[in-house]
Amino acid sequence: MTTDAAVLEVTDLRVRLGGVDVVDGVSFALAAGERLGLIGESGSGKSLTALAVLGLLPAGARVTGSVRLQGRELLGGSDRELSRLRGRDLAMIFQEPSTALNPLMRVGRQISEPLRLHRGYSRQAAARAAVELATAVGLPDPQRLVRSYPHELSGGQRQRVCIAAALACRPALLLADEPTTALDVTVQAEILALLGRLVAEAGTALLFITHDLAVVAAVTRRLAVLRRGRVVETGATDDVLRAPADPHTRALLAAARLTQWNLPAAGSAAARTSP
Amino acid sequence: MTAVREQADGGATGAEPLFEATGLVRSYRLARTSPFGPPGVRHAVRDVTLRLADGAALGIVGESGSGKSTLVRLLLGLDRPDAGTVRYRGRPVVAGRPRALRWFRREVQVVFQDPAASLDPRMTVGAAVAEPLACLGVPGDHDERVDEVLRAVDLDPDVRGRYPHEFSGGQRQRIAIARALAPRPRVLVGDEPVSALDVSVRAQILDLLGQLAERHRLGLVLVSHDLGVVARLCDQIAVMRGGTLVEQGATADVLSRPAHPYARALLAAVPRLPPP
Repeated sequence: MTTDAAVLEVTDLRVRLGGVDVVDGVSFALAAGERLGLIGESGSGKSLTALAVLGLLPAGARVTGSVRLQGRELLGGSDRELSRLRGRDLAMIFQEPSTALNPLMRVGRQISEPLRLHRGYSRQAAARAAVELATAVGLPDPQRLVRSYPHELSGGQRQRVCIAAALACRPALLLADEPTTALDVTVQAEILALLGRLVAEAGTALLFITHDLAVVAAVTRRLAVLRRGRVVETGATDDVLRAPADPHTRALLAAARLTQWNLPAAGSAAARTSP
Repeated sequence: MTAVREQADGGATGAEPLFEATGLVRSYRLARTSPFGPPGVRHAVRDVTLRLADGAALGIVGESGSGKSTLVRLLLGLDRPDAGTVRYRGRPVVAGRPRALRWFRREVQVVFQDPAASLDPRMTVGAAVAEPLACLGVPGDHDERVDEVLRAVDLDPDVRGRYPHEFSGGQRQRIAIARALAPRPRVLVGDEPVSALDVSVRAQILDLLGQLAERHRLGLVLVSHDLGVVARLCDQIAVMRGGTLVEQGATADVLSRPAHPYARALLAAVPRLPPP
């Protein structure tokens, strides 16, 4: 790392698509090992912000501002430069693990692909690493599972595969875009716990993108609320969720509470309490 | 709040139930995995019994593959059970020719998850909302009824001439609800009616459903993977897993004292916001 303590520093990021600034001057920073939640409704620009960081914006998008990873400017970098970084220094997991995986490739190869590409692992070393990684993300019977294809796995198992591949090279930064939205709620709880544990172990900074305030509360300490391409509020997750300053955040929170009001409090595991 | 409406007794005694499903079983044949072996069988619904009292709200919660959608299809007479019966006000509901179930469709209407898919893109809002009135041969002034139900879902009747794509997801779901309300049903079935919507819109639509149910004394059957959504609107909850109802009871009881381990796990897994 250079003089810059931030792993990721996004400054005045603007993405223009079809004549509209869909990301309109977004700035935030992430320190090593830190977890930041990026919250917003559909169309708020949260996913495009992530894609801009990755250099994966759709063709025709115009992007300005600055995205620095460990002090190094990513905007305007060539495809070759960026693909050297992706999977090694920064990685991503998406909402839909079934489309993120290659249906024709055994999952073991997909898990260890970053190691072969970026770390020069031999075929044998990669195969061994795939089993280790599959074990680390809690996949059942890893020896056998690495030889299966994505369609043979459940949604939760596929997302575990994506997480294993994303963390294979111990990247400095992991972007997770609604990684549990497509999963059942019991599976979601497992995946969130796993993700939290692994990024802590690897010292990876996490940018967690979601529309779900309760999910972000479970994973991050700090959050930024996006609306129409702008950050309308940032702060410690607990503070923002307890006492939101921005009216839009308040409205979001009130809406989220509507389906929570009569659930027993967290941790009480449905012990006592009534609405 | 809406969830604690007067308990119309979903239980055993008292008023005759609106809906009564007894011993429902439905299995599907799976694709053959070997040319010689017998094809596998998935038991989507196995021995489900439930009842809905007049004006009551029942929530069916389950994760993917739990059989909740199959159960809904059976309740709506869109599919035949292998065993068991569905009765509506004592009358059997049997999937068959559409005409034979016309009486039932007037009484029971459904709202699906994705209004973008459930509304015909080439049909104006007015035509879409009026369609069930014509199909079901509902007497009265259809035009007037369309205006009425559009107003009931907080839409301006002037939207009649417009097409579904001109609306946001929340507005489209309002249109779908208006269409369901048009024939004056006594029961509204919602199959994940808010899952495709943003949080803030979700809350509005849930409130709308709650108000409509109260105002028109509608029975509600709400199917969702989201316990919070169901708990908000329903006074009775049924938890479904592996094709069976593992737990059934009053919402407050199920939430505060879930008996089945799966119901407990499901409840514990719901991510919570910190208290305000």
